[in-house]
Amino acid sequence: MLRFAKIELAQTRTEKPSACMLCDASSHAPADGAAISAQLEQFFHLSEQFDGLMFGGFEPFAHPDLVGAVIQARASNARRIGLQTDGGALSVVQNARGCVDAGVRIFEISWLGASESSHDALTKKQGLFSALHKGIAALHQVEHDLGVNLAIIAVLNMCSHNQRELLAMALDAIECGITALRIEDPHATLASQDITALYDLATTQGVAVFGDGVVELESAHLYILDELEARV
Amino acid sequence: MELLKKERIVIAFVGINQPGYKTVANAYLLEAVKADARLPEVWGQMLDFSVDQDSWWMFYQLLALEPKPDFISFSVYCWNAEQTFTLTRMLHQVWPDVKLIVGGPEVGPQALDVLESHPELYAVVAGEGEKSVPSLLLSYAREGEPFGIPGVACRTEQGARFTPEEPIKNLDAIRPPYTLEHPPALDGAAYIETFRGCPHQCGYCFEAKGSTRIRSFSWERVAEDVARVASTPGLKSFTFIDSVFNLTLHRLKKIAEIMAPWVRRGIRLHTIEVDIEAVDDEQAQLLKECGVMSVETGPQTTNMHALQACNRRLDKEKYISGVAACRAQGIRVEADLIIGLPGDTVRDVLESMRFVVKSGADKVQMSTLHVLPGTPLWENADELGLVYDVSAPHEIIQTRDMSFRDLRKLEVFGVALSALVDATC
Repeated sequence: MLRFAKIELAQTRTEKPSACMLCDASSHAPADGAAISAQLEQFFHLSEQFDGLMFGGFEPFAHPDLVGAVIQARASNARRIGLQTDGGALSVVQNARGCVDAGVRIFEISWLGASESSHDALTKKQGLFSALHKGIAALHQVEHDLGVNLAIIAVLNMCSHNQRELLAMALDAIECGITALRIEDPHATLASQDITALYDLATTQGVAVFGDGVVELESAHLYILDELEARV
Repeated sequence: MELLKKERIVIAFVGINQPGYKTVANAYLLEAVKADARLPEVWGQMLDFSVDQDSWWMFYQLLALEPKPDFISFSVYCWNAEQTFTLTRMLHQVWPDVKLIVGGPEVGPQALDVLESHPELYAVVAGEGEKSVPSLLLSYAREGEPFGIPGVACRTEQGARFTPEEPIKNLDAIRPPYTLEHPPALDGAAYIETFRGCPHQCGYCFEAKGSTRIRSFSWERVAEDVARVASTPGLKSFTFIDSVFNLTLHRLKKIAEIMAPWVRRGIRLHTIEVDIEAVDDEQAQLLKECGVMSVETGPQTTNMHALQACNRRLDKEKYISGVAACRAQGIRVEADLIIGLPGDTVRDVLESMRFVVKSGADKVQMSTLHVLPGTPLWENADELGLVYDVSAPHEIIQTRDMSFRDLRKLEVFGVALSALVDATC
């Protein structure tokens, strides 16, 4: 329904195809200014086709000129600007505020576990679980202080290591006050009953679920996922 | 002059409002009873509560009224009916001699049923109250019974009876709702109307009340009302509550003319309802000249079956060009969709969402169907396969084409979609 053009802020090289994030062996290098400008230039010409821009690629906060890229994006006709992040850097309020000041309004934040031990182990980043929670609190604070509307989407990154934690991860995210959940299950580790349980849980909590790759045509959300969450 | 048996009447008008809104109905009623020369001295006051507040706290404040009222009048809408009837029930137990009256769209169309199911009520006012409420007070001042008053349902020895009322013909005879004593709210909750009625008869809406007849205030009166509201110190914006602000090009030009001096002083209009398909470049320019910052419009659905069932039409091309014309003038467009209309499937609702997002609307407002008393959908609910909660706010439970689960999922998806659409830089 809303189509976002994705701008990669990192050049990624996969050393070895992996079955899950824990086994991932990719290397990332920040994309240089010329590469980002070229992508934005392309968006500018295609902006009619998109409802916004989504910055992603490894961890955008690792890029030395994230704010510059966002400001450049605003100048290229983008009505909505999003950022895919692990959320850790947002725990520094100035980072959260800086992003919003620059024009980011949509934050997609990765969830890999329902507890400090599992999330930090799967992301291989000590303290990230706690930082992520502080980051979302900082976004809510900035939203309140600046009087802007933000959309915070918890992206549940599923793999064989965390599939049992699906509902707990969803509940944890919902308790943080997120706008919606999105499932990323590239290796189809979730069974259909897991997904049904997730939708039921989220619906009763008043939270929508976006996602891909599930076929159950009679059900509203699945049609949405199939048809409307197309991303480029 | 008639000798009345009461020298003074004390009345409280109670409004339980949605946060950010304030019912203007009570202000109209207060001015109507104060100005009626047939009545003895009237001590009236308005009490505004929020639906967020606890009924017992409202009750506490009502019991603190000094002097004790002879009448307490409630404006009842689907969103405050439950709290209102909690209050009337408790008030009657503590103050059985106080006459409790209710009016408003939630009770008017089912006045006799309401009277029957709420023995604590003295009368139910159906339709416009500016004539019937003063008449009710007059019958009390005469120590008479309210039977036979047009627009009022009351109890008689033969059971509950209702006397129909003709709509008020000369709207200028209605006193302006805002006075020095009761100035308009400064937080955007000040309202003006240039006409009553609606040219449309949408199946889910009570605005037209079964007729497409439009009754207008004179332009002199509109200009006075605008001046009264717009000159309020500290007021920056207000709104017109006309069902269709751009009813005709001529009217739009007149309003632009009236608004011009106030727009030059920085006064703005927010969230007026427009027929977006009628908005072309000329109308959009006039809306801007009226000081309009944002407009609210349909389409409610884009599915032809559902549109038909609700007695609506949609020209998608004109809709899109209307949105573009408004946005070109810097006017925000809020697009309304209703989840749960008869004839709509899940896929249709999603297609409607897709359409309004693609139309370029700045905001998508999703609401769930409420099958409101007096509306065509309420009257034909069984035939249309609508299952809804008979208690206010009458929310749809399921339709022929959408299950309870589907509706709830669409609701939460709608909330998320609105947030995403709203997240603009």
